Amino acid sequence: MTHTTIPDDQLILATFQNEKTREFAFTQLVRKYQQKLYWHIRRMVVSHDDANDILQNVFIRVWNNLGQFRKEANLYTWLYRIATNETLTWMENQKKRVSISLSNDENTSLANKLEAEKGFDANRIEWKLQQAIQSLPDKQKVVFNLRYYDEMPYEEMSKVLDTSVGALKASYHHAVKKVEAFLLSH
Amino acid sequence: MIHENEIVQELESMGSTLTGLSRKTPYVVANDYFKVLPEAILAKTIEASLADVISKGNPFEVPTGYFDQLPQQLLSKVAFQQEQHPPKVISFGNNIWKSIRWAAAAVLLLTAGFGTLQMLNSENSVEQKLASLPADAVIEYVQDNRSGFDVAPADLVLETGHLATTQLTEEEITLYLDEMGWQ
Repeated sequence: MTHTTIPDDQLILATFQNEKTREFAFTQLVRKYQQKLYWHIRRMVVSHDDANDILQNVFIRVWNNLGQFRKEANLYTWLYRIATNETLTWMENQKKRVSISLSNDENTSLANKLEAEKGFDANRIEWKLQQAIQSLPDKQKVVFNLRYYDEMPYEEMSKVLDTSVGALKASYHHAVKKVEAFLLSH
Repeated sequence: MIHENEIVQELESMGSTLTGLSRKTPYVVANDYFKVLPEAILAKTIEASLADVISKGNPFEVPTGYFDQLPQQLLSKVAFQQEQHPPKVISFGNNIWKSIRWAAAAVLLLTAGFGTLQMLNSENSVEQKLASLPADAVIEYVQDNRSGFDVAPADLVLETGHLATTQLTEEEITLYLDEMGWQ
């Protein structure tokens, strides 16, 4: 494996099994999937610092469990599943902290973070779209992002989210309508 | 991954206004972030693994069931030792209790007598101490610690001088008492 070529998942897994080459294999794995997983998380939590923390936790979990990963399964799907679960858990914990602080709206903090982002401009459509996405419920937000940005097939999404294809299609369609309504009203 | 057009086609089939929008995420990330991230994550992963090992503490192994069997083993050893060297038994009998009762009574009597003696001595000791003080010291103390309202007739004597050698009249006494608020 070299740094310029993208290693095959099976090769990464085989290299990871060897204790002597485990760290090298892991580094290759991170290089291959870091951007996809990072943006998947970032679109959910907005803040780079939060996304960075969650992403590192994801890869620590990957390190601890990759040895038991079944080779016949899809590594990409497995990584997305871990990243999604870590992100949703993190967001749930944030909501609990917000509720303790007597805030009425758990999405207020994400909306505030969005407005604090460098280059934020409420008049620009790309930022309005992000505001619309942040108004969605968490799981629907995941569905929307995985389909709209990551172009993930519903069958794969079903394995990531452990939900039926039909439910995911319905969720995505509703999410699209909500986002449209938000853009029209703002 | 499916072709980008399939996403656009799906949105078109829904009649969505999102069809024509750019799907570029506007968030900013540092230029070298992804370049350094793998090494940073590897370092953190190894650190987390080490922390996990350290937090588990004692690396030594203990035989299975060791702590479950230990109490019984100890009891067996103690019982064996007692069989080998039985402890001496000292019998008190009835006489020793009688002696203890007499001794306790004597101790109580002595304690009560000593206490009474101490009490009597303490009452006299205060008077004895006062009696041993020189008269001048007592007078000086009384004069120095007298309050402003505590004006004894002796002050009148001191201030008026001549009264020191004359008797106070009833009228003067009454006047004094009026001034001091005693009537």
